[in-house]
Amino acid sequence: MSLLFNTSLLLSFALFFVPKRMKYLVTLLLQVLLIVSTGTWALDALMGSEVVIVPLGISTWSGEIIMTIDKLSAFFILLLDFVCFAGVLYAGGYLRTSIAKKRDVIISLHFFSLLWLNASMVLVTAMGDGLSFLLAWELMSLTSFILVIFEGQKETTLRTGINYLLQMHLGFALIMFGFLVVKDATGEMSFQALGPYFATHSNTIVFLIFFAGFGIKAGFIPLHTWLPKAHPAAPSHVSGIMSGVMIKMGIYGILRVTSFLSADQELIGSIVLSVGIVSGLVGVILAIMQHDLKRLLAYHSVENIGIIGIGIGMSILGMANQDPALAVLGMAGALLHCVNHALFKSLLFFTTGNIYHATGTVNMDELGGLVHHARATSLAFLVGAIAISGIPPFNGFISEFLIYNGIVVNFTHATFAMSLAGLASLVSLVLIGGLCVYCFTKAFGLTFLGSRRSFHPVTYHRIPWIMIFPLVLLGLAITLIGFFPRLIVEPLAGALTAFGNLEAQSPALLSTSSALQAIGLTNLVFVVAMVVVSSLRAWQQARVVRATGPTWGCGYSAGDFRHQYTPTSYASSLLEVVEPAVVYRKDYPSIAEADIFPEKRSFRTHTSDRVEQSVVITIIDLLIKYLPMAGRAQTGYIHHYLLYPVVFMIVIVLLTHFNYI
Amino acid sequence: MINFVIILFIITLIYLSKVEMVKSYYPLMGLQGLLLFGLALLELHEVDALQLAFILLETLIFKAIFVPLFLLRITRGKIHRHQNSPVKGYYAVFIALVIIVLSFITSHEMHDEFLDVKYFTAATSSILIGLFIAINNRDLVTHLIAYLVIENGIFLLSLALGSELPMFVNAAILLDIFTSVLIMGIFFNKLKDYFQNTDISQLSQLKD
Amino acid sequence: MLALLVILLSCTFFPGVIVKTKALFSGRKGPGIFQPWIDIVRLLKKGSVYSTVSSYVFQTGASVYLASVLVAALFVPFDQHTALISFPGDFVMFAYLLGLGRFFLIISALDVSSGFEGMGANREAFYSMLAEPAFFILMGSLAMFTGYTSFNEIFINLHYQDYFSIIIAIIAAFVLGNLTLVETSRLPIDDPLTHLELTMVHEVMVLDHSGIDLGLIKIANNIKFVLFSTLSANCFIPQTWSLGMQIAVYLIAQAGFAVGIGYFESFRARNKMAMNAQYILSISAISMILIFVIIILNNKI
Repeated sequence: MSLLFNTSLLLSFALFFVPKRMKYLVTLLLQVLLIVSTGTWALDALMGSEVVIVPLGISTWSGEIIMTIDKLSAFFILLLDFVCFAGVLYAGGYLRTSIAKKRDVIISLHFFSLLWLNASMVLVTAMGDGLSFLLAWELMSLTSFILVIFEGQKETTLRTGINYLLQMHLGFALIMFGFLVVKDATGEMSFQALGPYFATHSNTIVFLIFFAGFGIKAGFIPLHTWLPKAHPAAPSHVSGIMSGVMIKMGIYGILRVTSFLSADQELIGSIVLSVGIVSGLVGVILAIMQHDLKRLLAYHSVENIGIIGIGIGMSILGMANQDPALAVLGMAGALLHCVNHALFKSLLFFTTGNIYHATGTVNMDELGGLVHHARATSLAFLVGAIAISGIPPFNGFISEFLIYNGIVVNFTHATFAMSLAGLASLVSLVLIGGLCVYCFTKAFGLTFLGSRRSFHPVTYHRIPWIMIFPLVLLGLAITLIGFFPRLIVEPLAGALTAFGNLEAQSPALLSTSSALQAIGLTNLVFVVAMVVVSSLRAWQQARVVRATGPTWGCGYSAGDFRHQYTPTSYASSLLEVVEPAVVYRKDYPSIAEADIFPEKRSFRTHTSDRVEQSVVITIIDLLIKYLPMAGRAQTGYIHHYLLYPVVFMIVIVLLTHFNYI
Repeated sequence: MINFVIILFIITLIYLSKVEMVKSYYPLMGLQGLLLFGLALLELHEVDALQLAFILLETLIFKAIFVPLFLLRITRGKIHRHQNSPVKGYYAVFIALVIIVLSFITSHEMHDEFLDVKYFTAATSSILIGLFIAINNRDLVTHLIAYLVIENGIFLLSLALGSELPMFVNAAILLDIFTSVLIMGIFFNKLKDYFQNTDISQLSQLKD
Repeated sequence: MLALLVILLSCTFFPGVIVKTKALFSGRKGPGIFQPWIDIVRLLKKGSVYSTVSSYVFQTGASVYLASVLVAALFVPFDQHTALISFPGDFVMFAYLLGLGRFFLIISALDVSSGFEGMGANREAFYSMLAEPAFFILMGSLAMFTGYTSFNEIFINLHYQDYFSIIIAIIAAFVLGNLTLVETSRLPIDDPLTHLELTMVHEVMVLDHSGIDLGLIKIANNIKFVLFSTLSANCFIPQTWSLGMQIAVYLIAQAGFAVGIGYFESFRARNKMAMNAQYILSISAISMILIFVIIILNNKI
């Protein structure tokens, strides 16, 4: 298998040499090889009882690179293989026009990076050694950067890409710093070394360093600012993969570090929980304010990461309070939400790609009535919208139910502090759910329903089947988890074994698994009820007169598409309530008294992220203000420049001499 | 039973924080007076005649009947709504809730054996919400009501501490408010005639 | 099974009693108790008109709404008599099933490309978002009090442990009663009889539904009404009584609740639209107080 893995990676270089129209097929083929090999390892690890160890036959200066796949890694590998496969499949349709237009090397590079992104994510989950982990992490950031700047001829895209690359390196630096702190204390640079380190040192600081580093990837607020910029710039299949699985690598890292924690869990848990709550609420509120569908989905990633954070935070608190039920259920909910979010978010991003393909825009201000032109896409979006709102019968509900259940079970015997934490997370989960419904009725309703918001007649491009097929694949997975949630319990229980102090087979998960069965059953009952009601309705409809006519305009007969709600007006009732999170600006030249014949004027509303405004921009402004002082060192005289290394060397020598380093 | 009365008292605080029509304050204030009367009766097991008379006077006659009716009489048909309060209704409820939660947490964390958590929560939240109402409104009558809410909180605090000394404090505050209600009652109409409204920010223009 | 039967039974007269009460208070004779259902049957027989811009979403919306409410009805127990579906944490699914119906109702309102229905959809989404925490906090606090997490066990164990359970039951019933008004769009959130579209919430959302679709929505609303009132009735009916007695008391309580709503609606004006948010938030605030009471109780302070 490792031969297969290495071969597919080596063969990927051949992508640069095959003819243009063959590139897609070759990529798909290589990806299948990659998935078969890594999937086999993952399945072995998940089904078996032992950790799968794969030497890759490549050495670095720190020794041979060895993949160690335990059940947690296997869980993530299977997930990312599935989503990447769907993404590459979708790319075939989405890139069809670009392939014809763009230069050969750009296409090759794109497909090459797509493959390597998949491979690097597998490597990230499988590397125990710190150095090889960091290499894989860097590889992941670089390949995704190349994928983001596919439309690099636009300046905004390029700027966004560079912003993304910079932020990723900030995260990289933090993670590396965390590893170095551990190495300094234990002499070893690996995840395993965290165990002995945490046992003897303060846990909080190192955890927080890792949390910040991985949190940039995951997109926790206030580290989320790259997400709403990078996703709209990237092509849809890339956004799907990035938002679906790549940000989950951040979660993976946090989980990995969490699994070694041995003290201070109360503090750490509350920090993670509060960051999760803030991310969830602020993420979804900002999502509601967006006009651009892809930005909206990007903010929803922040929100879902927040939900995962709530699950992890509650779970850590559960571990701290010796409450296995909460610990198991919270963690299981968080893990399952990773899966669910990967599925429905990539589904939603792919449908956005379809919308772009059909209409040439993803701005909701210009969309509407798409349901008549893209029926299958609208169905897929509807499934994704229901799932992301956490509503049964789809998968989003299952993971939220696990977290809810953990909180409520904890309520029955909670201490004072835990009741407060539970109450906070309960309220925020419920609010997030309600806001999600608000947001996705808006996204679905304004994009697909009603009539097109356009003065001119518009043409629609037909959506080819290859852009529908991946949606069906993802939709099936969503439905499967929704209707047969017990299937997922076994792998979840496996992944939980990575957490030494979580007894995965604890009674909590078992009793929940019967509840999950009941949920699956209820979903089936719902389908039956639905079939009964709609067949009765169909029977009635066949017997009565069905007329069609214009929409009832409440007595006003000159209505047109402009009467419909717009993204801004739909969000406006919420805007009054959430003022603290959103900066809202109206650009409208008001009519002066002297304007007897007002000329044509435009109206524009603009909402932006207050967290970004107040935290990130402030820091950047300070930097811009004070960094030029460092510029004084740049005198322009070469002998000054030669002086600096001399001073540096003297300082180093002195420090070593006095044993400071 | 005591718990139930305290819960009702806290619920009235939430409703007080979101009042929009000035006249809706009066039934709520009356209800609070009644609740305090009930609490005092339930809490004080052995009372001498003087204490009983004082409590009756303070809670039932003064708080539950006299003040609401008096205020209702003097303001009838004169003022209806708050003038633009800085914090809008939605946030007012939210702030009241936060105050209650915080006072609950503080009183829980105090671990004082002489302190009754229930009373202390109700008392602190009552005082703080009273202050909040006073801060948030510019209307003269509403300010008076805010002081009444604060006084209710102090009354509860005296129950929370369970000693007798605060009774004197209570009496003093009571006298204060009693006077202020009377004086305001007398001057209210004049002020109203003079300024056309009862916005306290205009009081600074008063000169003799 | 019994639970479902009594719920359906009280569905038959519940809306009629409200209408009748309101008529009596306004000095009219009013229609018969079963008139709302006769209206619904008439709707079910009628043909319907569909907007030219509407799609499959509009066609299925009402059916999904009814189906979801029907399935949610399977979760509600009647006193100690178990509901058909019951598992730990089932109240989460109950609330989210109602959410599913609401989701479809909202998007089918957006399907007809009308500004008015968009307005109704927007308001419904906003108010239901605000109301949901109240229900969850309430059920969470009851779970905390009883130590169980499913409707059945919560209501079995809620009764008469001591006098605290009466206090808690009273507050729970108060919160549930208020929630009923929000969830079913009654006064003071929304006036079902208003004639001006701009001031409607629920009615303006179903403006374009006609014939069977409107009938299905009305059926679902009636059931939803009774679901919540059954939950609040469950807080009170003693388990030791005989079955006949329980059903009798239940039906009387339901009728009393309906009369109460009729009375309330006769003398109360609708809230200003801007007041609704804080009205709903104060419901959550009260259930939050309930949870603190229970925390104090549990810690035996």
